[in-house]
Amino acid sequence: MSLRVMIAKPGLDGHDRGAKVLARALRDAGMEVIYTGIRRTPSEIAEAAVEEDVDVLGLNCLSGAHMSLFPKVIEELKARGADDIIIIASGIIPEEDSEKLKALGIREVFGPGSSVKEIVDFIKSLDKSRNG
Amino acid sequence: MDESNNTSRSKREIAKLITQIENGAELTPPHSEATVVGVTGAPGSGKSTLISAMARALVDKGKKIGVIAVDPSSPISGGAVLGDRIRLNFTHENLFFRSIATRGMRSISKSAYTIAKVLGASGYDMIIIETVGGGQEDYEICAISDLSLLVLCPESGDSIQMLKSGIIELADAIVLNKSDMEGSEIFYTMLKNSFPEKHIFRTVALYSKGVDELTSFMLSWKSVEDHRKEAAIRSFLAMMLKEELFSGFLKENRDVFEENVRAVAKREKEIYEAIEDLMRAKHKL
Repeated sequence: MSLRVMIAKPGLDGHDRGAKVLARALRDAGMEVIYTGIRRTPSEIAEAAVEEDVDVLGLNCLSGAHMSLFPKVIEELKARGADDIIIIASGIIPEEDSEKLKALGIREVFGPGSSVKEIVDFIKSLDKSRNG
Repeated sequence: MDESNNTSRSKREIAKLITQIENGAELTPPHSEATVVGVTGAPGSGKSTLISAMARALVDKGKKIGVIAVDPSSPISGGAVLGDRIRLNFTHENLFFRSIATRGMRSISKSAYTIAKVLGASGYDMIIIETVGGGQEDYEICAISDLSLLVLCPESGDSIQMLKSGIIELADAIVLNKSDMEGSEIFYTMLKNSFPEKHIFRTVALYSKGVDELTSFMLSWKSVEDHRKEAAIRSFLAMMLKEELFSGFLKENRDVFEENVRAVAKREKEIYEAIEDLMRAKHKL
């Protein structure tokens, strides 16, 4: 059973080289990765995550708008009864914001300096705990 | 599982059911009257962009549309990047879009047929299946669809390519996408001359040009049962049967199979020797 992961980019941020590198690394780790493409709204992302029935949703934002966009994605998922989807986040996210986002239910935040391997290993560890 | 027709299913419930099918749950495909449209063509011909434009037009015409977009699984890691959704520029309550990986099958995943039936039984009027970017031999999709569309773009070849066998013979209609490109007129005329009996449409999917005419055609289409359909079904059944037999073989002989793969890769064995050894292993069953 392949783990299904969605990489999503909310808001007006057109820089997605990192998202593509990560999508490829997760593919190479044996996961099925759905990439939404850039400039999606929180509601589009939540709708897509529901239709694709993903195990993990990875939000990436490099524009600095994470504190307004990420909580909206969480709300949109809740509204669809899909708040069991594990959310992780990455981007230019300061330490103090990381703590706030985690308090809102985002499982882990990968800020500047995080390696691809760290993220892949973290998602793999989620899979292990999922399969008991 | 006894899920049959249920048009009140939520998207969440449908999505969960599809996951179960993908993971091998035994489910008899429910009855569905929905039209299944298969879309195939080479990588980069614009299938996903065209499907996004078609889905928009069909939803605007008041239809409920399901899309199953298939991309290849990696033969190395088993993972996949399912990228068709990138071309979809909207979400809608009357649109259900699901990306799936081939998981060891060829142009379409084993579960695509059952998923299409489930979407149909859940109240979707038309189900569009997008195959993996395919070539001349990928025509299994014609067996499980009521209408098969082959997407080409200018520079897909000359009149000799049009004489070749395979998908171009079996597809119900041809869509010449990117028809604003240079050389498109000549290619269109050549297509018309090569296939006077076929429906041929011209589109520029990116700008939704020609899409209204194409979707009207799709909605009025009545499935044809002829020798082309029979040929496609023969091919599809053969493919499914090979898959079943091979999984049965692997269940008993995975170690021998892997040993032979390694031996051939290390050049300790010729490929034909490996096949002979594997056939011997099979007969010991």
